[in-house]
Amino acid sequence: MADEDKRETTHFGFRTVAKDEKAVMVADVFHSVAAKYDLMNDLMSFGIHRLWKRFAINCSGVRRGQKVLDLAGGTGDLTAKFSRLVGEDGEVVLADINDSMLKVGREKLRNKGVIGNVRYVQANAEALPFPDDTFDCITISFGLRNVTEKEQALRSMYRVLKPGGRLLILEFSTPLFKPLSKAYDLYSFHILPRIGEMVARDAGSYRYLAESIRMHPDQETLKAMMLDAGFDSAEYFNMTGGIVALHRGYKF
Amino acid sequence: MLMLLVTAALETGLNRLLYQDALMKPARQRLKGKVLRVELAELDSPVILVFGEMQVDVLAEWGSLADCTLKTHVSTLPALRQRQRFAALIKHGDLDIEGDLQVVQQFVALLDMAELDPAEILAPYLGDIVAEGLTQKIQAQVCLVRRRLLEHRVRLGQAVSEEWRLSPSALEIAWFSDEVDVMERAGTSLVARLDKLEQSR
Repeated sequence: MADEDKRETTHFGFRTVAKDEKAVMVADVFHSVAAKYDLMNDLMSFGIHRLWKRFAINCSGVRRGQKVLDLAGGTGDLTAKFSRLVGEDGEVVLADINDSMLKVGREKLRNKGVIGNVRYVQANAEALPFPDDTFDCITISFGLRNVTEKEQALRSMYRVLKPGGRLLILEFSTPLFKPLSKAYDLYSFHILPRIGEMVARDAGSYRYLAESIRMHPDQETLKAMMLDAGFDSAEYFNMTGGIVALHRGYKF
Repeated sequence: MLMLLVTAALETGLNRLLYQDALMKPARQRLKGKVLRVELAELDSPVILVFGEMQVDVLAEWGSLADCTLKTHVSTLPALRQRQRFAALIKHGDLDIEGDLQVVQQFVALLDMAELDPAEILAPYLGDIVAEGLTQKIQAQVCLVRRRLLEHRVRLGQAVSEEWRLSPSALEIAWFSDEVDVMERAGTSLVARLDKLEQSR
């Protein structure tokens, strides 16, 4: 019992769990939602997630011949686009800790004809299995909030980024206006789990999604975390009234 | 946000128009790997077209140099379909092209090949028969509305000129123009005779 009390804890949504349990619990969530992930994204965000991702791509500055890491890349929305932008001489690595998501992503991209310059790697963001100074650009889209040790993950990303490279974090954040915040709470705690129940037969996973968003650091805190990890010129762009923010930092 | 919507709509439209038909593949191949930057005076950001094998990506920012940069106005865009007018447009300052001119020409050629058939777009969602029937009905309605508008215009024109006498009719304007021409010629002739008279004195 005393040993159990001493175990380090973290949050899993609004619950407090042991750190070593969170990865398994998050994995269960994504094993459960993988098959309906794209459909649910469209339903939950009314399709706006495509515009958020488009903004991230515009801000990435990716060009021909570059090497890009799409971390927690899920079903590969960003990877497909980056694959075309870097061209035949470039390379995109789609990495995800969850093998179900990776399989869905790989199948989807291959069916779309996205082949040749894309590699698939099952990897933990906290300990990336790549040499130092490997990538010109790293993106993590709606994935950082599920990482247990965010600071460690940011340091790991900094290590594998080439000097001059940039990290883009697209993530749910804190709404800027009170009325919007109230409406957003109502939507995410009452409507979202019902949509999850109806479409994916899994209300619990979507309740976790809403809770994990509330537990994620706000815009300024995440910016400070990026600066602490070593990133320079860290900045963020609010979208849809702060519901989502894109953070960008450089390694100089 | 507006630029994101513009680029998203453009990308969807261009891919539907240019990347569905297998017959257009040779024309698409010529553009594969090319980047065209379009700077419109009316928009704050450029529109960048990155041509690939399977689709064209439309962005608002691009990290490196484009193969071709085209600077123009929205109103000039329809004129680009006539490639022989490029030189005249450049001369008048309506169009500025930097880089590989062939990229624009090949893109215009690809657009020329495209045929927009609404039935083809609707067919996957509604089925062939419903899509074709609906398209024909809509086209018939559009034709009818156009014809009615034309009839109304003619009727209104006749009412204004013939019935209410608010303006002269087309025949009266033609007659008036002829009279003005005759008067102009008479005036010119009179000036010439006066000149001749002055010289003889």
